[in-house]
Amino acid sequence: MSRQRGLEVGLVVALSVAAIGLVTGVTGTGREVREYVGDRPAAQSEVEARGYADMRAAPHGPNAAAQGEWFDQLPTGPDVFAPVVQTAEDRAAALARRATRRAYDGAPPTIPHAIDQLAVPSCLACHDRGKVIAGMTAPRMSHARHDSCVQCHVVSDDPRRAVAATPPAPETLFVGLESVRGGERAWPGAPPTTPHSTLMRERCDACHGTLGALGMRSTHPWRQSCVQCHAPSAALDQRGPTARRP
Amino acid sequence: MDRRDFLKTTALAAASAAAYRLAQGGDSAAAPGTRVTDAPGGDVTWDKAPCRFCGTGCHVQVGVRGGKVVAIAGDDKAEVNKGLLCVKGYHVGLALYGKDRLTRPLLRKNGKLEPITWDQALDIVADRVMQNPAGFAIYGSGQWTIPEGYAANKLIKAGLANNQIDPNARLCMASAVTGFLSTYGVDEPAGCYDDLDAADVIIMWGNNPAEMHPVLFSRIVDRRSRGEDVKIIDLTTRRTRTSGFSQHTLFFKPQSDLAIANGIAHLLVERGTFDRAFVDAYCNFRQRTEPPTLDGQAMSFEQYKAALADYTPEKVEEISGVSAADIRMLADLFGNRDLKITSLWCMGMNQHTRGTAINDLVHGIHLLSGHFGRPGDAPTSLTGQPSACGTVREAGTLAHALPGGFVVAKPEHRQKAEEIWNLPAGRIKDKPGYHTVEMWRRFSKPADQGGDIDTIWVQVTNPARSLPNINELFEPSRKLPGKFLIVSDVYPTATAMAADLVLPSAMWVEKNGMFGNSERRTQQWFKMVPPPGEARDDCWQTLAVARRLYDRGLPGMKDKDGKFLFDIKDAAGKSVPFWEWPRYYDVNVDRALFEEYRKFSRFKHKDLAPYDEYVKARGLRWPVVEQPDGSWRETRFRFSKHDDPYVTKGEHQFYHSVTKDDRALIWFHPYDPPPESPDADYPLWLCTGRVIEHWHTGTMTMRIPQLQRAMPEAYVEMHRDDARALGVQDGEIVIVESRRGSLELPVWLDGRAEPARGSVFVPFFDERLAINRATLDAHDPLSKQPDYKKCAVRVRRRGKAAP
Repeated sequence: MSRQRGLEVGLVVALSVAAIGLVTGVTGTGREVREYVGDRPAAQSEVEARGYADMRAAPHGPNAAAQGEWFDQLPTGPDVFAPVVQTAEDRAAALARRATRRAYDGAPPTIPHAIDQLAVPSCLACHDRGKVIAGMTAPRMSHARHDSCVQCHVVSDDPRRAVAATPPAPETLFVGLESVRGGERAWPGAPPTTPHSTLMRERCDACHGTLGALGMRSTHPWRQSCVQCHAPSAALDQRGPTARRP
Repeated sequence: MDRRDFLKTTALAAASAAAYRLAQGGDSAAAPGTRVTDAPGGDVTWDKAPCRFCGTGCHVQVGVRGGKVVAIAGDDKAEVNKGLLCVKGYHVGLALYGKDRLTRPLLRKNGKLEPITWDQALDIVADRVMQNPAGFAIYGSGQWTIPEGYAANKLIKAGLANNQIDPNARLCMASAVTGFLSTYGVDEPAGCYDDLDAADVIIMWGNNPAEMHPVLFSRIVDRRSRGEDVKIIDLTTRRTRTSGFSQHTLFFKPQSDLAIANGIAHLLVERGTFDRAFVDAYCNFRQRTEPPTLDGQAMSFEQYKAALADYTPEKVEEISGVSAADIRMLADLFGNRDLKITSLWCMGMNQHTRGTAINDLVHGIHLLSGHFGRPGDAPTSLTGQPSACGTVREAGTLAHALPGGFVVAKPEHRQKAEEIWNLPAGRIKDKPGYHTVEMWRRFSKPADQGGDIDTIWVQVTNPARSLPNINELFEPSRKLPGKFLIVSDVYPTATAMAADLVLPSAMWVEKNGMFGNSERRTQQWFKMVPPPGEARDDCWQTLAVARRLYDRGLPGMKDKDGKFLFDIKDAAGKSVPFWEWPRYYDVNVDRALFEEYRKFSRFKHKDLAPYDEYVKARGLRWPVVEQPDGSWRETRFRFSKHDDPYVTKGEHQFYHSVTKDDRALIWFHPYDPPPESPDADYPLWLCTGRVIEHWHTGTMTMRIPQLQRAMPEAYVEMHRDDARALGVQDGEIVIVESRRGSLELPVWLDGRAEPARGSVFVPFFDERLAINRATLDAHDPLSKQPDYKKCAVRVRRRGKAAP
């Protein structure tokens, strides 16, 4: 096989794979990414420390699939014009998954992965703009920059990686405020209002952008000015005349 | 297509395919059954309340539906937190809903707690008082609301007239109080949180606000995100989350903060970089006496300078471990009047056997260098409890105090209090009651050995875990005949479970309330949800007992006209029988008590506005002074002409000066070694404290799943080298023991913080793993506040004998 021939075969294989990927990724269900659901922090901490040179040669750890030569070359900008196909079931599933990480709608989500408990958090490396690594989404943070992330966000499991046993979680009778299925529409086809407070949730694309969970995504993520059409609620945003006491 | 594109395309395809498979494989977290609503917020009502936890005093918006709290939001209109909260604040609503809330009064019968009626419970409390009024004490905390604390204080000081009332705040901020009193002659910070927005340099004296006062910490570090320059200096004994944000982390040996402060003062004086004009106009110098007093003894500037002569940077380096260069760096900062410097501290300086001294010294550096009174220039203590300032320091729920900054020892103060309370002359006694450690020591001793306290009624705190040296101060009384412990609480805490009588309480937004935060801000909220079962307000409990004592004819329950001490009238001027529970909310008892209490606030220029002003506001900082137009104006910077209406001459006027000449005192205190240091038998320092997830002894936060999962258990934090030397593994259960007690704890290496070699840290939030079995009850001679931050311990592996 000549060198030229080899390249041609390779190109054909590559294009086929790419086409499959495109079809499954875009027209299939659009579920090309998922959220990281978290494993025991212990599983991460047990990874042996290695030098950078070794890492490239032999991927390892929970992100092994994302390491290697192609890691750096992943496209960074999502395709905002890709059609979004999502169903009511997708939305129900997305809201259910959100609820597992929050005490109530509007509570700061817990962190589903291990973090360094002492160092200044490097959360923004992934969560500042959001990122997809190995098919898992690190969502963009929904609010303006605050540097002390662990002030509000805590891990969701025992951070002490080496203890043999961890005490059971306490029982609670608290029933938190549910997520809202969607905003109100003045008539069928009207843009829905914003059904939740936008305080600490002012960056709509964190949840509704191209990295958002399917079911909650905007069908038109190329539009930047969300409040042009989707009105937030003065009452929920603690503004204007409300029924509550001062 | 070149090779690069080829790789890109295949990678994209592979990634897409892999992601597709993963997504199709399902996700266990996406199980159905989550409740979703179609009503965007329509059925939830929102109202303001200050957070239940620390002394920062954030306001939250509480979302209520169907008589239950269902959501919390940061209050966007609150100046303290500007819409932001910490993880505890966001989950504060869950504190009400632990599964094991106390819902019925319980009495210990044959060793077991059994349900009784409220009527029986009130009779039992009244019996204990009637039996021996002199031996009946109330132990509360800065978690009392202001009206609750005020009512308990009046019951003890005016009713039983034995002055036996003290709070957990004694263990928390008493040294800050004595520091303010000895320096300015009047308690509480001159500055406020606005200083944090204006300071160029913030010095954390043994303080870890990234975890303990997170919202204030963000208020500082978020300035950097806006492009502002703020230098943070972390003076600490262990590397914490605060250290990572600091330009300078200066590690010092326990207790040596005194030497560091003296080292800075020495350089300021030696180099002449202190603010001579400020000192000449507004300060006097003071040294301690033996025994120590708040007044001390006058000294001249020359004597002050001579006393500091020993504290050269090199000498301070030797004592403290902080390099001479860093001491000079600190002195350079204070010597620069163009900078604005704010000092912050909390338990590190207060839980200190020389707590008053180190508080004095830090105030002294600020006064000496003139870093005082301009926005951003302030020595500011922070508090750990939501109303340590409002209820304890201002409403005076301390053994020696009366409301409004009055003390029982001064005849003119007693007389004024008797006037406000309409008491016969001489009712209030001049002898202070026992401070916390002494109260519990006497409760732990038989009557014939000086144990003259036989009943303690505990409200809103958990001394079985928060007292130091609990093996000696708490547990003995539980086996002594004749001792009776009454506990009002919301959960079966360690204290409640050890009690003879348990009274179920309402908490936070299950009742009306008022708190006072660290920056003199008085806050108000209304009851929003009913308490569970038969749980009732602590304030009602106190007042109902008072009424029962009145009915039984205890003379102290009547004022000089023979009327009930706590007579409250409705709008029509008719007395309301609020001691009957169904009638309690017929009238706003908080409002009535606050309006009475407010009369005390004028004498020490701690003026409080009418109750209704606080209803409208997200708190107001005292002195709140009425303006000619009838509005009420708060004060941000006390003693400074630019903001304090009570300053009548000069730029600064310390109008409650100890020396009665409008001057503050700059004290000299020498470095003294700690009462207990590591030695051959107990070679390690033990420091105790908190973590961000938990508050106090964890009785609320450990019942909140999100907080408990993030930090489920106490641990002992060790330096890796110490662990290696002992052959101890991460996660291993070891024995931590002092001369006073021991307990088993899992080791956590490279965890939340990193202690210095030769020291360990254990948080005190875990009721099961109570580190206060090991801590020291040695305390500051003036403030009586014990030192939880340093004592000697050893760590050994299980199965290994002590050396």
